[in-house]
Amino acid sequence: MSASRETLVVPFLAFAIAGLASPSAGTEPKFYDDDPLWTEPVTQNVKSATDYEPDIAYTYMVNFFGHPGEPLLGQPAKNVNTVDEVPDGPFFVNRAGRIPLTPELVARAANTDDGPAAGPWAIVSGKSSGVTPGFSIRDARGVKWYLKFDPIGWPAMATGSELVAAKLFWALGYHTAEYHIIRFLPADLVISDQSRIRPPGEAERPMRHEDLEQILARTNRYPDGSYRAIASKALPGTYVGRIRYAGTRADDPNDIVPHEQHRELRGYFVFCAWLDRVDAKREQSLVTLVTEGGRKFLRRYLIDWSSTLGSAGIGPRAYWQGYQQFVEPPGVIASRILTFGAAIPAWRLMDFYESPAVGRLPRDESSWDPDGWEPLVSNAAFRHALADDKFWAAYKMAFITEDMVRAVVAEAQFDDPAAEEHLVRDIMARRSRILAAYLPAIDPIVDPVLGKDGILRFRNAAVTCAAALPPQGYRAAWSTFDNATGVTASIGVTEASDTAVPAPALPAGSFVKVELSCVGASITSWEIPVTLYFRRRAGTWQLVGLDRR
Amino acid sequence: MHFTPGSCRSVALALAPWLAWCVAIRSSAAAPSSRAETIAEQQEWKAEHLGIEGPSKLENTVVWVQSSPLFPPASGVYPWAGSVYPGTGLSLGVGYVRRWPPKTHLNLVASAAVKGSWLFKADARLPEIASGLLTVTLDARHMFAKDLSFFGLGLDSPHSNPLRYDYRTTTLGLTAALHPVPWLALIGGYARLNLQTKSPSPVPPAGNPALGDKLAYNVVQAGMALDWRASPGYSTLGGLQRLTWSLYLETRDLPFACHQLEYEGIQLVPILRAQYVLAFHVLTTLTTTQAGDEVPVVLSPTLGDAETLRGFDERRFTDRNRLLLTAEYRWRPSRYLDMAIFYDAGKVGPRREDLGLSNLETDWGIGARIHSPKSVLIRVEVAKSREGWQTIFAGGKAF
Repeated sequence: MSASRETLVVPFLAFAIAGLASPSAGTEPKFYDDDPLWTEPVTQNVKSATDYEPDIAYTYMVNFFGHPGEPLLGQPAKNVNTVDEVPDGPFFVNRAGRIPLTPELVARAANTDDGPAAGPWAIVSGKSSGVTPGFSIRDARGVKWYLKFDPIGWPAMATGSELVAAKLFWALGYHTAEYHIIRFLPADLVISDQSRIRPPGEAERPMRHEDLEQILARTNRYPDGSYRAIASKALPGTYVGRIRYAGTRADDPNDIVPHEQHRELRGYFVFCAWLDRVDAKREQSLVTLVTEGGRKFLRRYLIDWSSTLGSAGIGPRAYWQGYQQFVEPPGVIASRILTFGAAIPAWRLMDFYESPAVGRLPRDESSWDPDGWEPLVSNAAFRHALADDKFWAAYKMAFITEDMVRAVVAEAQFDDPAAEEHLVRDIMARRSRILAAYLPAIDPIVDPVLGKDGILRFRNAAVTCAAALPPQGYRAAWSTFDNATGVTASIGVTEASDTAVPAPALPAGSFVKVELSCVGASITSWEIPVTLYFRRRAGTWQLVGLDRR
Repeated sequence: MHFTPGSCRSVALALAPWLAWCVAIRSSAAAPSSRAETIAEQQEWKAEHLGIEGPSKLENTVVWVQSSPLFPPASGVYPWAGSVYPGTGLSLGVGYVRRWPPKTHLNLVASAAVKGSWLFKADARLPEIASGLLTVTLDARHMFAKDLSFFGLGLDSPHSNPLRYDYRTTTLGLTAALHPVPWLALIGGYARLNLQTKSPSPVPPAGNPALGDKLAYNVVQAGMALDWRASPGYSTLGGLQRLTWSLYLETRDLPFACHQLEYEGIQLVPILRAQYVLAFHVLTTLTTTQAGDEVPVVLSPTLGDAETLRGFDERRFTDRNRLLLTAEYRWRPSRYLDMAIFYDAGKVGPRREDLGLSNLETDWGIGARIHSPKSVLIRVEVAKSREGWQTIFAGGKAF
């Protein structure tokens, strides 16, 4: 396309976006009666979904050398409700900050039973993907489980890290599998007649006893001859692929928002950074076709957590992991070439804590920068993450307490108190760094409530989490709001030195708009107000809108 | 905000379904009355416009390349590029590989160079015995290398007016390696070697042993290697100690029998978690003959190529014995790119006593190596010696 034709395209696009971005612009209300929506509508049956397994090399290549997804960065997340939250749905279920979490609940997470039922376990297939050894079994109840192991010399490292990460991600709101740490003897296993395996470089064939011996030979064996494994229960439904991080799934009618514009997939970056889940590519997820309530739809799960915390699955975490991607950016490489190696990455000089139980972790996280964290390969959702997406994630994380982390670490049975203590300290230290980085980055007003007493109460997330000093006060600019036309009329401005700002006399009407900002804050971005919308219903004010832009 | 032609196209493409849906909704009758209904309308619209989830053409291409015979475990015909023999230039050809997992293969290659050299080779790795304790490989090769240079014997040989010759060889060999532990290899082998050199003009025998002759050898080899590098093809730590003894018996009792003893030592010293690697290499080859026998030029140790004295022409120095000392300062701008500044020193001589540390030929240079975790894929270097600059494009490690 020539340059002159491009100049015609731009105004056309501007017109089209202005006129059509909201199909109801100018004719329909800003808020519907059912706002804010806390459950994502799933209205269409998925009639057929292709089982599509993306190629790993392609995943790496397209993300290193291309930029899949929407090219225009800086766009806000589009799957949030009117109060800037992600509704429950096929990708995410609000837990942290939405339901009362307890250490016991987080330690249990997605688990619904006690793991594989006792009795002989029939091996139904050898693990043919990924680098960690494993196989799947069917227990005495006929339930299918996937078993993965620790590498030799690192007892509990991979399995324990996997369990910790999976349960914390469950608490944060993602769909995960059910995980249990188990111990068994080889005598507990039988190879079923239908068991199949595809050894590296070979065609699929019936699994033999030698295959089992080879798998177990690569794993950590205890002196009593037993093996430790992590058992994950087979997910409900039919596997049909992996989560895309760009665009929508072509065969899913309910999937209408491009995934790079999903807040929970953008915020996933923050959670991955927290637990050093460096392997966060598509292959670490699963999409299953499930039927619930008479509706057939696709649910997205996160899986495969062995490259997390101090573990790289087949060994301890490599020094560089979390600090650079698989391939560094060309500019970084060029500068290192030209300086003859004088530019030394920080991770080469850092002190690490090492333990066979938990692997390799930084000894001191006090200067860790979550924005400098790098997965092995990035994705479109990570690239699109904005300050408000990261704020959302950090605020979720604020609800995960040290007691919960300790409960999950205990559940992982690392059997090394000193290593467990370091792991807990590491997780909590990184949490603190994330809260400090992302909560103060934008006006951190959360949980606003306009009471019958005419007081607007809210919390300052950054202050509450000790991530910033409180401002001198808060200012609220009040307006009436016509939901049909969007017309506002000023009512007045009120101020308070704490997080309870009195409202002026509010006129009769259904909606009120409040622009709430900080006064005298040391952080200038806090002066940009958060816009709140309240709707009067049955004599009480309900928050229906929250806009941080 | 800046719109580039590319971004405009991408934005337009990304917005197309959205715009189409908006237009469709605007033209429909009733406006939605709830947020859920709004979303339901979008889902309904998409339900009528579903596609097939699957790989793109590019992804299919990537998958196709990976499943080609260029990569295990596939078998079949593949394109081959390389060098028939050092100094003959780039050769292109075709290969056929048949693989039997996990590690058995048969590989056939036919290749020709622009300058007239050609190569047929076959190599096979037999199934491992005792879980890899013993490995056996077979190698057959028929090669013609055209217009090679011989600068004369000794360190003082002139750079100008080298003798030109063609080299034809046929080899059939078997090598067995015993690995009692992963870092130790005991190697033995036998090969039948026929070789012939031919020069366009008559070559005086004095100072040019067996150049222009046709020879046949039974070659027996024995050796031991202690290799504690992470991988022989690429490593940032560890080392190698190798000692190899080779006996060349001329089958027709022509006076060109010899035996060679070769020692190679490599030590890699990583610094700051391998931000830097100091690499050291020693290579010594000693050739001995019975009284009256001579060492053919093509069997003599040489210096001057992509692995020895890199600042000199191919096989610039030839004699019965050689010594090579190399040091490299390597730094690692990327996990897959190493840079190196290197210094090579070496000499050749007719007697072992000649291999002292005085009067060494030297060169220095800089290079870049693109590598995988286990092998160097491409090596590009420039080296400077007293005889000028050399540019090196190679497909493997320097040492």
